[in-house]
Amino acid sequence: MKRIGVFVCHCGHNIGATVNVTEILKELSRYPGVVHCKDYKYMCSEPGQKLIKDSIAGEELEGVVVACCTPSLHEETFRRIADSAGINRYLLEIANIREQCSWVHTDPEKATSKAATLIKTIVEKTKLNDSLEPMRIPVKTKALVIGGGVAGLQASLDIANSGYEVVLVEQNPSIGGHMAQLSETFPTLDCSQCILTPRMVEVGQHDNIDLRTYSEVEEISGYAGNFKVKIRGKPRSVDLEKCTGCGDCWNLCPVMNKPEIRVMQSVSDSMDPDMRSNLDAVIDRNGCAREDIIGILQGVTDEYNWLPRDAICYVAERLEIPVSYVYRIASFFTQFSLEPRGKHIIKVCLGTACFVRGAPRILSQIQSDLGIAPGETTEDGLFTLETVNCLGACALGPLMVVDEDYHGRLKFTRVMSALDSYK
Amino acid sequence: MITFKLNGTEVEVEEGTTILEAAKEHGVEIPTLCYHPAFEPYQVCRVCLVEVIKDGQSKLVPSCGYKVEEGTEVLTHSELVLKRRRTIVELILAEAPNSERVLAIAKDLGIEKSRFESKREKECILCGLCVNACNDIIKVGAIGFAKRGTQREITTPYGEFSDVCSTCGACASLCPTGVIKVEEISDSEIKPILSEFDANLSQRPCIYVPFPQAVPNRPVIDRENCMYFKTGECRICEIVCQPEAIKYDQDEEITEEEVGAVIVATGYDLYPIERMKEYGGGEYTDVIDGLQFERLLSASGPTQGEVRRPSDGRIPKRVAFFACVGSRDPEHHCSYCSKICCMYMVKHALLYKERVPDGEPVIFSIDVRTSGKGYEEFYTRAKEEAGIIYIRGKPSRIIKEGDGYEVWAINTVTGKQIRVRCDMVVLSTAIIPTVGAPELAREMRIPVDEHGFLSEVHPKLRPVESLVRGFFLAGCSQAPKDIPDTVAQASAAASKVLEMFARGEILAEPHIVWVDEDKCATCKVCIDACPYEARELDEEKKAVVVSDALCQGCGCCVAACPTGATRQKNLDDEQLSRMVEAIFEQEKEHSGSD
Amino acid sequence: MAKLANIGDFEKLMETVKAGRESSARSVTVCCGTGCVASGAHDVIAKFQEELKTRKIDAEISSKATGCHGFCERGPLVVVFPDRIFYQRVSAEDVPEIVDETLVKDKVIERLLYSDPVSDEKITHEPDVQFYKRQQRIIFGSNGMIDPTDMDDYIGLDGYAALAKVLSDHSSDDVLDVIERSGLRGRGGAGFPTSRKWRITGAQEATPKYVICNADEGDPGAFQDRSLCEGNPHSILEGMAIGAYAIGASEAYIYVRAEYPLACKHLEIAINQAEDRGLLGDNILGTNFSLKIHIKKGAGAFVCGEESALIASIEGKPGEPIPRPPYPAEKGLWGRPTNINNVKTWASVPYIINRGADWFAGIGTEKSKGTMIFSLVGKVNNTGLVEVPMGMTLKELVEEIGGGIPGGKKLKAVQTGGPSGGCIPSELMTIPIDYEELAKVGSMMGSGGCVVMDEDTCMVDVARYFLSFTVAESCGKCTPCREGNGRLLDILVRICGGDGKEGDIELLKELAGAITDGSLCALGKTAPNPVLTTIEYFRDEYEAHIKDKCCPAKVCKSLITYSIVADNCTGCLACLKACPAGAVSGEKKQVHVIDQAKCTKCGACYEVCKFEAVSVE
Repeated sequence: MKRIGVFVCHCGHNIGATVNVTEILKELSRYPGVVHCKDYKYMCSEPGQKLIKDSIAGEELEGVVVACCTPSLHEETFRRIADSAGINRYLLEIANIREQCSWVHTDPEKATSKAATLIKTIVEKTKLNDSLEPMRIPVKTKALVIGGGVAGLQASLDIANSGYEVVLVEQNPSIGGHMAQLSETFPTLDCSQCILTPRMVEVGQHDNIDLRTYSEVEEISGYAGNFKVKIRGKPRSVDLEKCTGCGDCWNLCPVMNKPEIRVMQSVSDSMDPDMRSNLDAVIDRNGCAREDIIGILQGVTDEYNWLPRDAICYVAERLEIPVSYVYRIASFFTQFSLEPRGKHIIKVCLGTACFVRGAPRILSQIQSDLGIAPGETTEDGLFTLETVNCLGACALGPLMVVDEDYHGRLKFTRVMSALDSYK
Repeated sequence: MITFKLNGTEVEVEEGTTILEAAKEHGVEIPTLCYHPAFEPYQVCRVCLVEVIKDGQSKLVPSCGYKVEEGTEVLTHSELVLKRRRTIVELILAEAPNSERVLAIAKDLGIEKSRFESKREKECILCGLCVNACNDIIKVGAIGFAKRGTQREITTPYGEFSDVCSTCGACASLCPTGVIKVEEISDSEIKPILSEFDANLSQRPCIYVPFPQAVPNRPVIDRENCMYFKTGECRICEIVCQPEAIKYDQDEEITEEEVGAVIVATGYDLYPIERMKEYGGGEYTDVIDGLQFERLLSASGPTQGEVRRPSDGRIPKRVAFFACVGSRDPEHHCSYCSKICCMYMVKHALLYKERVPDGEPVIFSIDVRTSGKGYEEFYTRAKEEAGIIYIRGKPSRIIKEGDGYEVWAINTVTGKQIRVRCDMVVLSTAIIPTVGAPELAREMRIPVDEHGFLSEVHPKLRPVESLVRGFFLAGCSQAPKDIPDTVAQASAAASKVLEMFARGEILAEPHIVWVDEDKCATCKVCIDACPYEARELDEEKKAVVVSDALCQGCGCCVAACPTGATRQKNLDDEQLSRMVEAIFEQEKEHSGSD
Repeated sequence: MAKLANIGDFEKLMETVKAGRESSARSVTVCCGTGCVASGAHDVIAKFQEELKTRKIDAEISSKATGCHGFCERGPLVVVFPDRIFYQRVSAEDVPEIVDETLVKDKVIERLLYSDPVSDEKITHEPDVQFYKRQQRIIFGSNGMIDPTDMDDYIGLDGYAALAKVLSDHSSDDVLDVIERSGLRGRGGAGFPTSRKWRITGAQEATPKYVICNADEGDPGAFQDRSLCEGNPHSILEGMAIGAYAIGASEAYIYVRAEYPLACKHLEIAINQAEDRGLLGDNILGTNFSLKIHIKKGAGAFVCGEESALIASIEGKPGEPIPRPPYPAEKGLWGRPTNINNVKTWASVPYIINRGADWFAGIGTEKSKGTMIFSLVGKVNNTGLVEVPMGMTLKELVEEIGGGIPGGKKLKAVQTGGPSGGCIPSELMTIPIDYEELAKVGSMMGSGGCVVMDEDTCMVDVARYFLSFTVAESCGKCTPCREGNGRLLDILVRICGGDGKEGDIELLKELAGAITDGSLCALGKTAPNPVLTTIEYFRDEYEAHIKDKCCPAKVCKSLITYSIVADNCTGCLACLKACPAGAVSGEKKQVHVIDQAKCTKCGACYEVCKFEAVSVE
């Protein structure tokens, strides 16, 4: 049977106040296989460590149990003692009687009993422990830094400047993080950009830093020293090799709001069905391509004397062009009217020949008599007055055409009587 | 190649080059208004007229659309050109007397003021950029020209709100006089594309670099908003990109790297201001967070460093700063202290006072924490020299009152209820882990605390190491901290990595599992049980083997193995049963003695 | 109507038609051009048909409605063949008499004859009328002889013979050579050599190619294109077919103003007839040459007379010009090589082919060949369409053909070239009609408008008038035309309104310079011409308006006052009744008074007064 040594730590009052260490020593020293049993106020202190080391040598111990705090804190400390004392470090175990016992119990008697149990179980384990050797894992000397803020930059530079490669992954299009957004920094009030920018440039240009902006770490597998990392480079839509950063694209990109694509509202259901069939007939007659639009609008004008709004929208719908385009054509040419026109249309020729023969006077007489300006319609809807820049009947000037009737060689006195016949 | 004389000097350009392009190539600037490099030259503003002498005859042509001809002579600034250009610019200036673009061109030509009076209601110079963008580039057709001659105008059909406008804003952004406004074209909600870098206080285009000093200084296309990715139209960036660097069909790219260590420096975000309903967060435009105020203070920010209210651009005369918004509030928000707010509020108040000397900063705080080198002095100086008012107490709410805001609070020193009117409020919202960082940590199997900050091995002795070996922590990913602490921790993490690299190997605990291959039934239960993916079937050996490097010795597979083939070093079944026996004997002994 | 399978068939048809028409039988024609129709020509022709039928002589004596004779001033016009007895201002009531007397009894009705305004002599035969005498009616001549809706009428006058000739033995190069040697230049305004234009289009590699006939006659005071389309549409179609053959086009468009309904109708009829006969359409006269002609109606935009705007309009776009180059010959309709010519140019082509290049080149001046059709309008006795050889002086045109100025007034200026042209003062009337000569004095040939102005015309007002036209017709695309011409007009309105300022003339010239040099299309570039020429030749009138605040021609309302000349006033109440503003007061047989505060200066009183009792100062 292995010669086991047990070392109980008081941890100041941490253990000693709840667990009766003397009792423990007494009990354990009787336990089979335990050949040596000692306590000390702080076993992790130098005298404590020396006590263990000396005991291992002096008592020729083949297994050591240290009853103390959590192994995560001092396992390494005590195993180093085993190393230096010449026994295999894995023949030393810790029985945690602080976190697992003294800190969580108040009854000293029961706590003492539990501590003894804990120590005994570890003694049993230690008896069968084999001597083991730690595994040596080779390390890939390349680091991954996730995040290109000031922390990531600093870490990357430190590693890169020491001669090792770094992969720096930043999810945003640029490194710099929040610090790049700051104006000044407290308490010295130096400019944040001024101190950060040189670092950013250094990172961007460093031979040892593989900068992956607009990228995310997708997956990390493996283990310390040998990680496998999957990095997802999001599509920038810009070829970083070719781009010169001239700024033409971002200076000229005109889209400033989130676009919401909308489709033209159909008027075909809401409009007058008679009008729709009329319009269909006009469109079928003229064709349904963009180039047919003028002919179509002329057809609509023939039908209605003007271009009703529904007609404009419906033509746009049938021709699959924007309403604005139809509106543009309709408002460009004088033949088209976006307002309802009167029953009779008076066109006064203002061509040169008519002009020199006094057409303006004729016009002003009609204007004052009907009380409308060119382009307007009388209130009773009877007349619309329009001017035209030559009807090509110059010999008849001054001339007006009412509907299809020519009234030539107009005299001041004859104008109104000519119109009376239409009333 | 074509040879011609440009202002007396013989130069060569490629065939098909316009005079404007050729002049630019040779450093000669010609003013333009209706020109846009991505559009077919519209050639209507006539500001870019130049004189071309061909076969002894001189004529004026618009340089934007006129292609250079062999053997001709081009004068971009001859007396005739300047004379005509002046008259034309004067005509334009008359209609757009406030346009900076037009004014600049006029000034270059020595025109102070147009001799002509404005005739149109709107400052529209009918350059057509908006219409051509909407129709030929974006291909929506919401606006168009209407009428003709001096009546010509740019409008929606019937001057009413367009039902097809996508509110993309191309029209407005191209308008040289600023007369085109999307809100006059569409009654849809306009959602500006906000600059993340400017903390949503300014707009940015769809292809952008986040800020001028960005590294790399290369743009990225925001596919969420880019017209091309919505409709396949626009393509302006592609058209204007000389080096042909725009790649709309670029796919995401997965690359694999092998590394020895990982530093996690995922940083922080601010607690969403929208969660602060009682302060009108997200609702009141002038209630902003600390980063937004930083942008307002920044010389490169949306206001060039002038403190102006986001709502109306007015300079706020009293600004309230609230400390501990979302921090130190375990009941509703975050329990922890965000550490940097006390100090940056001092800075904010000081800088505000400096920018707006008659401004009044008022800081509401529970207390002031100045734990850092020089911090207390900074705070004292601010209080004493700059006269910043501190009010003890956490405001209960903000009420919008007319043009400003009213802060309701209890002064905990006097115990009195107070109401303070102010023009703007800056909330020092809590620092939280970057959105998505806790999920990433989970993916990497490194533990986080209840707030989502990464857990370190030991808060004092091993503050930069993660509980999982090979991962190191830096910056605010671990906990809120200021810049000096961040940088220090980053260097510390780096040195931990360097230590590992310098050694070239790491030692791993040997008490891992092993397999008694004779007993293994290859049932593979262990593979599913292993959380570290350390078990795999070895077809040759007819056993499920262990990867020594991956095994963490957790014992899951040992417990799962139905045949007892899987065993753990120094924790064998024999050892376990002896340990259990020891417990029972102790029980027996004690109950026996009682 | 049977389709003609080959050229032989066509020749046979032509012989048949000619034989049928060579009888010396009596016939009557009534001009049914728009001018005469407006004066009642439709009633006249209907009455003729009715009367001839009633008398059962409609088999021996034919009657037909023809195209415009040109002498619109005296319409409705009736010509009795074969003697060409010429009656003017005929009404339906006169018809029975004409039938009974002239057609049946061969007697001339004195009162319907035209009397020369200068000599007072009654003229019996059409060719003896001074108006026609000095003309050389080649292109326009057939108008009065044929019924435009009857294709055989055209064929009877060698119609489509040129096309047949070309198709039988001319290569496209042959045609180009003939046209080149003839010296034909574009009749649309700029006078670009037609053959060169055709050659450039023909030489382009891109296909298909198009030819277009520009019948978008928009110049105020010009109506010759209308007359040709209405009166002799086949001549245009034939010319286009020959041109298309030479260029290598198989599709063509005629762009015609919708304001010319009769022209549209006659062109449509003509195309249908020609297609039915196999003179248009696929495999014309059995050859490999095909041509489809479409009609596109303009919708009222003067600017669409500009080539690129016209093309845009055919493509269904707003009629806005696009910058040139590229020219339509390289990239025109649908981006293809396109040749555009004016109506008169196309109509000239068959005559040149039929009679030979040398014949055509023998007419006119050194650089301007052939004849030119003018619309002679304004303050001139004989208004109408005239066709004269190039090289005739303006003086001859106005005085000999036009019969001088009515009312014994003095000639002040002649404006040629439409709104883009210039005003040529009376002292320059001796210059010959020629592209270069007109350009030298600041005007242009244009589409052939020729407006005569007398001493009562205010030249500033005329400039203002033309500018108001171009401003209204500008498409508004480019700055110089839209803003510049707008400002020009503002200044002119101000000057006419008596608010002219020192320096206005210089400002007008400066603006005009920028507009001329800077505008995108010819409409804009030439719009200041009337201003520049009136400043050049009538600067004193401008100065009178600006400095003396007076309008020498007594036209500009703000600068004149109407008053009653007490000595002449008879108190007839005519002016009082005519005054729309109620500014005239007075009792019967008492001297009237004009209330200057109410007077709108419409001039109604001045016009109605028969006693010269209203004066303008």
